[in-house]
Amino acid sequence: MVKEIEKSGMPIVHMVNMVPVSKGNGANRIVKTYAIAYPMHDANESPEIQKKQRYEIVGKALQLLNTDIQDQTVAE
Amino acid sequence: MKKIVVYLNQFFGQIGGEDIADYEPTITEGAVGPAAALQAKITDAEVVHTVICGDNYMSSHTEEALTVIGELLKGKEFDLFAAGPAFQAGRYGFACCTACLYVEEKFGVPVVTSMYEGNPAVDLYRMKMYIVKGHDSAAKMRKDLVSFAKLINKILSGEMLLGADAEEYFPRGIRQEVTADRPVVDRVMDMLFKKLSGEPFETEIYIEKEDRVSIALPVNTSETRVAFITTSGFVPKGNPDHITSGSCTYYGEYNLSEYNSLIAGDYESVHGGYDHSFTQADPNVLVPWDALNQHVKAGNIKSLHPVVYSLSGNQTAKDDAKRMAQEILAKLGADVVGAVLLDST
Repeated sequence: MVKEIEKSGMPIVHMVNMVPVSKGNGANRIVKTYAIAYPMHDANESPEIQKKQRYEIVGKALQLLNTDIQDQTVAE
Repeated sequence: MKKIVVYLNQFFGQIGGEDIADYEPTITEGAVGPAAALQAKITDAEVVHTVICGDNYMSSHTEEALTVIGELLKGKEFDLFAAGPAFQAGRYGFACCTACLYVEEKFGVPVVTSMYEGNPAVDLYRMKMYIVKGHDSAAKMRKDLVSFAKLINKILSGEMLLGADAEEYFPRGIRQEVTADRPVVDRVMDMLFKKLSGEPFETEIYIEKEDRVSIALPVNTSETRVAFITTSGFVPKGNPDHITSGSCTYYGEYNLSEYNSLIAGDYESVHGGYDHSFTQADPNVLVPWDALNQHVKAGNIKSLHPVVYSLSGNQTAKDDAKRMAQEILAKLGADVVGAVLLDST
């Protein structure tokens, strides 16, 4: 779905845990998430830290959208 | 009598389901679960050990998992390492291939796995190892074990393999020189006449097409409307649109514009491939609606497309995925959306 959207020329970031699978499939902008079952924050942390983590990880994705990349790029 | 070690995930290894997908690797004597059924079809070897590892553990702690497996196998005698069958389970397929390649390098034994062609691990790993062609569900276990055992028996016997099609594994891109029965000029003219007259013909060399997409230009997200899509199976409590747990052919559309954050209990997940307890605790873990809104407030995003599109990205058929993406794209275009974040579980 990621590639289909990008084909239209719209930049898209895949936020995913299994980065090698996404990379192998050909996604160009990838952000690694915390875990398969809890992507946007670490389930072991306090709600305050989790809130910060969500803000940061979305921030990483936004940064990739703003960046002129030359090759598949992963933000860990 | 030759010796085989089999690798299974926590489910087939009879430890537990998604709740125990973080299971650290262990080793048991003899054949557990499907390894026992596999044993029945192996002609001249014994399954001496079964290694069991949780799919999530292998995925999220790959280095540690492999190190432990290396330690568990140290000093053990075995002639072949077989993993799976993994059917269409993506994490399991990835785990099987990762474990196999590690064991092959560390212990120098032949390795084999089996899975369905739609398993994402196939495209990634088929050039690196033998992946026997399997079916898409565990209901076909017996059939898959037959072809799995066939290749295992052949590898152990040392007989020459006759190529991917004959031996029922995914082509590895290995070319072996053979002498043809007719001169090339005859074969090429034959093929050309068939092609010109619209008759079926078979190419002698298959040229792989790489399926990559041109990198989209960046945008200034401070000036852009951003949309969020999720394949986590995120739905409002009660799943009013009956989004399925897998093999989705349609998606939900949830207008969240009234909210700055998501409240626990108002949403759940229906995706059949992971533990939902974290979603129940805080649905922002799947759709970070609070963070997205904070970024709008901070000026990092101009505005948010109000609708979140959601499906369960669990064994989605490629064609359905393409079609759904195109449908969503049309809606995004209509709202002048300029960039997308898509998260998967």
